[in-house]
Amino acid sequence: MNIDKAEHVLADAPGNMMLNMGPSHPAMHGVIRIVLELEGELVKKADLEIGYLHRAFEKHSETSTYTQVFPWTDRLNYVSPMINNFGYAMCVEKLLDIKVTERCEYVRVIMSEISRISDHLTCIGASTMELGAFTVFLYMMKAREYLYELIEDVSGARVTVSYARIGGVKADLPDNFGDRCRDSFKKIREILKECDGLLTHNRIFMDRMQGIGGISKEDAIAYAFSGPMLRACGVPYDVRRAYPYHAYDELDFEIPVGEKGDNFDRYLVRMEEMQQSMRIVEQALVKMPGGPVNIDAKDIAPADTVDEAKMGRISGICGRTVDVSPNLEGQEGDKYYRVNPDVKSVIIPPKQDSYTSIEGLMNHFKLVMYGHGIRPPKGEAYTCVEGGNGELGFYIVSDGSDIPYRVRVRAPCFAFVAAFPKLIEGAMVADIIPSFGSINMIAGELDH
Amino acid sequence: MPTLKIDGHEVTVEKDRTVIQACEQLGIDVPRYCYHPGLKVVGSCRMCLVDVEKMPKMQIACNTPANDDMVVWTHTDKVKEARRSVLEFLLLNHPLDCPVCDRAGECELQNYYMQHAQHNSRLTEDKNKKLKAFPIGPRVMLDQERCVLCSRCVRFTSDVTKTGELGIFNRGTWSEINVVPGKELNNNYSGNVVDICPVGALLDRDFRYKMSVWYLKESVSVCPGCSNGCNIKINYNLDRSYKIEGRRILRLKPRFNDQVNGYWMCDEGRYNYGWIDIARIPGPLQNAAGSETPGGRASLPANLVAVEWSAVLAHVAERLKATIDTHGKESVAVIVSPQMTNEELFAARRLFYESLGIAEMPFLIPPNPKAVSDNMLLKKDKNPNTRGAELIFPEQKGRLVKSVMDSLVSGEIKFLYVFHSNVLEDFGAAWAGPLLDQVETLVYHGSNVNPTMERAHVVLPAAVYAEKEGTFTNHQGRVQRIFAAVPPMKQSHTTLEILRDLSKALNLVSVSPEASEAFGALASSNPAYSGLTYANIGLSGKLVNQPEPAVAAD
Repeated sequence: MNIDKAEHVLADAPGNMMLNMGPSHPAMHGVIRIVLELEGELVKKADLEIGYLHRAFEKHSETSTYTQVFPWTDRLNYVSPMINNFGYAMCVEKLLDIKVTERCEYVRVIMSEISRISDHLTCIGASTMELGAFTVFLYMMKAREYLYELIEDVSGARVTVSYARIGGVKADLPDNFGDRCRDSFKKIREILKECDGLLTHNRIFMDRMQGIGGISKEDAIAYAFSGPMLRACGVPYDVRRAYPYHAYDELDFEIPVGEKGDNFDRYLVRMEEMQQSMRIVEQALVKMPGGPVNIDAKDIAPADTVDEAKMGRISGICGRTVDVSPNLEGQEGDKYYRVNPDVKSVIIPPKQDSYTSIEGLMNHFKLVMYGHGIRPPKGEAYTCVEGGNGELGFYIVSDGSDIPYRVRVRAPCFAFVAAFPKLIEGAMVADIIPSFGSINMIAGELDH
Repeated sequence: MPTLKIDGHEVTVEKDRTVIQACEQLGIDVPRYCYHPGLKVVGSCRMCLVDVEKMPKMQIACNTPANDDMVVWTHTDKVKEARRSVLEFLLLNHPLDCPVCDRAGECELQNYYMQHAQHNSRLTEDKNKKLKAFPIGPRVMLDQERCVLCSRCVRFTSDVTKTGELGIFNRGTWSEINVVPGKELNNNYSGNVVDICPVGALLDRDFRYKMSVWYLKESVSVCPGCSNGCNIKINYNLDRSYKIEGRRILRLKPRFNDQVNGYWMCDEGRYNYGWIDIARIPGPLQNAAGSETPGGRASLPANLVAVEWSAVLAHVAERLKATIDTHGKESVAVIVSPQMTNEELFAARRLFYESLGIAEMPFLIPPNPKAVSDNMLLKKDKNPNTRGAELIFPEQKGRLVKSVMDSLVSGEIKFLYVFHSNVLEDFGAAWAGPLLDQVETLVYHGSNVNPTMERAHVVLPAAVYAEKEGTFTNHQGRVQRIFAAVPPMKQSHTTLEILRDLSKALNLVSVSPEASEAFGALASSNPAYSGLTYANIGLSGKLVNQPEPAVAAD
């Protein structure tokens, strides 16, 4: 069915009705338009129009330096922003041929999995709410709040985090992160148990989700599905296992795989993935190298170090730990170098170096200065990570300057939205809602 | 002609060259602070150390003669470690000034740190304090803490200008650069010490804090300050005019040309760029108060109003035709200017002399006897293209502009077209003013507001040298190209465009407003320029075919 020619199509089937589920509609999805041809309540044909949230991410990347692209990546899949950050950072690191530190790999794994849990919580919560399960939605939002508090402690923001940097991350995890994380997971597991009890064997939920919105294994592969959508069909493809990155090959976890590829299986896959993600994080917290650091009395403020160093009086302050604000926690020199390699052409020095030594100051200056900074050699690279939705790929072309020549993001939900007409053909109008909810289309990622 | 190997590449150099010059010939960058090709070699900074086979210790490339069968390596681990160590020592007492230092962005400490050193600081003591940011002359500022004691400035003032204002005082860690007691850095070339200082110790007072260097764009040109024609670079910025009071040109820097100016330029030329952006004529102007009355308009005040280009040129054409028809071509005089490019002079000749038959086209105003000149770069003739005017208007040999002014007394000249010259001030307002008022139609074709322009009936705003392409011929007979850095300001047009439009209004064939085509036409019609093209002039210039000056230059 061709949206533009809808009238001609309906001319063949005059008894059918064209219904427009317009870009703004009460169901809580992103902005997307579905044009339906209905025979009574049955969906005969469907077509989707996307692009309502296109904000020119790729074009903006062509006018921002490599580090300035990170805020743009936050806004791709905005329910799991850290995964986007890390995917992009990995691609630039491939271009630069830089290896991140081991601790940084674990930090990225931990934060990716936390983002993944919050992605699945949002997806399941929102789509079940559209079926009437308001309580489950609020329970899952409560669980998500625990995660947001953790994320805020680590990066300073809940959603638009910009946590990754080329070669590392912005700052190391706060000192008490491990304990707080385990506490939060205990509470989240309880909440998930309750939600599971409310949904998984719920007659109404099962009737509405089972057998609806299914797709066969072969069709799913043909449509380039990945992630939970593909695994629900029975294909055990996960980028973390197929092309391991960060520290995933050292961690023990299972890939939940469904059977029938319908909405219910996707729900089960996502619920189990959340449990596996928590398992991954708990292992990573133990295996992560670099323990807590001896904190001497922090009795000097950063502003004072700047004032003294400007006057050349660095003897008492060089090498001393400064008392940074909570927003800069994790950027003290010794912690900073646990998660960032000492590659001066790419990594900005920690504040205590750039404020107290001329070498640090010059390094910082040349990296931030207009026209200089991070300059990967000419070339191109593609990397993919396992996003909340599936294989999230970044393809970057560098022309040797400090601004990328081209950044292309492969959105996993593009394939699902393309296959959506196939999912709902022959289903009833009411089935569109759970099917569309189970796709987890994030408009920011789809339209970028 | 020794042949040596550097980094595995063979290179043959002239006699008496050093290893660093051989490296430059191959395009290999060797970091250096104290070496400068225009100054004597001292070898004090030790930054250019390279590994020479069969020599136990590393050698400084700047003072090691390039000999046959030498094998030099510039990127071994030993060399890299040496560069790192030298830089570490130089940075020990260097203040944390990058955010406030003018030199940031073109600083050799920053550049070499990122390219060659990238070490972590090991200093845990206080840094030495010296005098900061004080003027050592009317145009140069010194910050002793930032100095790396390369002594380039000392060698420059002692060997190049031979004025000896600067020196190194005290010793060891307390060494500092300063002016010799009782002197200040005030010679004709003081601005050059800012160019050669590799760090932000010596800074231009004129450019200080105006704009960060990474916002500057660069264009190639020739200084129009005198007949020497020093090669320059124009640094300009068009996007941040709100930061610099609407101006566009920020500074001029010399460009190396071993036939004209070497590595240097004089202060008079360097700091004389403000007029490009200030007090420019905004657009074509015409005297509204009933301009051309026979016998002059002594009682009418200047009342210039803006008009459209097409209207003003139609008016000029109509007045010119009417004057020639009524009083003959002897009643028209054109004061050409040796500040015009060769192409513009040629176009003016084609329009006025060849097509309209106007014989009175002098350009020569003798230089002001008080004008500064020396035995280095400064010339008494403060016009860039006097030789060009001599070669393009050979009939005007020996004829002075003053003679035209004299003939204004008799009232014979009814139409006077003045290119650029501020004749009112050159000849004194008391004498020249009433003479100009007698002219029925006075057209001023120039770029800046001045008293002559205010007296004119018609004002045609022209582009300045930084806004157009063209060539100047310097006193040696060297033709050098200039390029447009910025577009013509407001409603100015280039002189070539104005003359083309004026020719059209007069129904005459014109010279192409494209500078390269105009130059081609000039080359094919003038034997002095025959065979010259923009391509073979290139960026370093080419002598005309008659290098002997017709009039002795100063």
